[in-house]
Amino acid sequence: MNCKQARQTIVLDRYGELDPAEKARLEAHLLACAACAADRDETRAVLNLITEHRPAEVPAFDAEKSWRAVRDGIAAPARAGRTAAAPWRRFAPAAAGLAVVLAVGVLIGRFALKPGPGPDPGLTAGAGGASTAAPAPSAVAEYIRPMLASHIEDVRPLLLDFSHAINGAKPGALVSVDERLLRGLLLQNVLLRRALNGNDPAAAELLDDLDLVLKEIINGRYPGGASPAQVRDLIDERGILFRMQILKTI
Amino acid sequence: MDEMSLIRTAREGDGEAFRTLFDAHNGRVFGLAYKYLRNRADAEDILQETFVRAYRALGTFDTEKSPDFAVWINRICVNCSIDALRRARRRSAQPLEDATMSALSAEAAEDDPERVARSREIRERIDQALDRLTPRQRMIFTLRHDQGYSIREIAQTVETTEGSVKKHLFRAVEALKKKLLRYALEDGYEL
Repeated sequence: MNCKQARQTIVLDRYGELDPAEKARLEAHLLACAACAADRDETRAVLNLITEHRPAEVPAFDAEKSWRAVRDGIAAPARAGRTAAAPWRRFAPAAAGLAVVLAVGVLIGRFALKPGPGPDPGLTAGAGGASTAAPAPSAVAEYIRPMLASHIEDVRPLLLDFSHAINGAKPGALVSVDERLLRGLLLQNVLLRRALNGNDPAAAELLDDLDLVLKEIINGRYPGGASPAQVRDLIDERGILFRMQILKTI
Repeated sequence: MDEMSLIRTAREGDGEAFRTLFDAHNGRVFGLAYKYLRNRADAEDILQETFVRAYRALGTFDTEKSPDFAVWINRICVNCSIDALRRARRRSAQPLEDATMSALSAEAAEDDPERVARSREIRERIDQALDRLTPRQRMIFTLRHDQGYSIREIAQTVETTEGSVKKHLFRAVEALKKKLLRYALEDGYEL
């Protein structure tokens, strides 16, 4: 046993997790290594300090009140379910989403597809004479930012649901989503991304990540797709909820 | 009625069966959430969230293949608690947990001021040190140190390997040692 192994084993020993053979190997090492023996003493001292200064008792709680809250929580989606797509009740109605999509489309028309300023036909040939000129920063602030905030509001509840997914959950087990609405959000995302057209790199990066997550969610509904836990990990790894919050508040 | 029968009955919509499951497990779930979050109100929220989620996910509980209901519900509680801690950390710095506050006020009523002040300082340092652990490290440390779960039980609960649990536990203890060793030595905790 070397010192690195010994130091990891010291913690396990403190918690009684070593079998007799491992314990004997550790003891032999500690007899021969003063540094590791000191480390064992320090580990014990700190863990004993924590034990002594952390209140062991758990306070009383009102189980009956908690049960009532659980019962109400269970009943809530069942009531909403009668109207269809219950877990999506928190999302903006489809009509509102469509309005955002249309508005973004108008913006793209105004900024991205307006006649190009330059005379170079080679740059515009692929777009039938339209340029890909970026919107002015003022337009981003005035038009696109509010839409981005609204888009974030639409997507956030979905991502929060997935961020709570437990391992082993099957697609649709914890998070029930309407595929048409998912595709609507994806379209909204794509259009906003195009409307940014080179402006606001932080927003563009977030929209790229959202594009990935939304596609994973949609594909997760089919065999071989990502599980809710994988989507959760993706959201977590990229800090998407946090970045959404930051962008929304800027 | 045994637990598997209760689960099957609850899955068919029997509220009483689910209530029986709630009664059997609410104390342990609340205890785990409280030890992790150190705040009664937050632990009550986690208790409720855990059972609501459990009810909705009962359809995925396989009475043949899934682990014990206790392990399964603990997993949900662990996930809810870690999420809650992450959300709280993103919102703002954590206030002093109410577990510490209530213990301090009880102590203050009966002990000498110097000892209370020292105890308060150490508790604050412990809370700060725990706050600096990652949510997962803190959960594994809580399960082992406060709840007395074995490494194997922790691995089942947080759905990882025993090797990973050992690594997280070791890192958590190392981080705590860096922050707290001074206080342990000052207070004569050497063995």
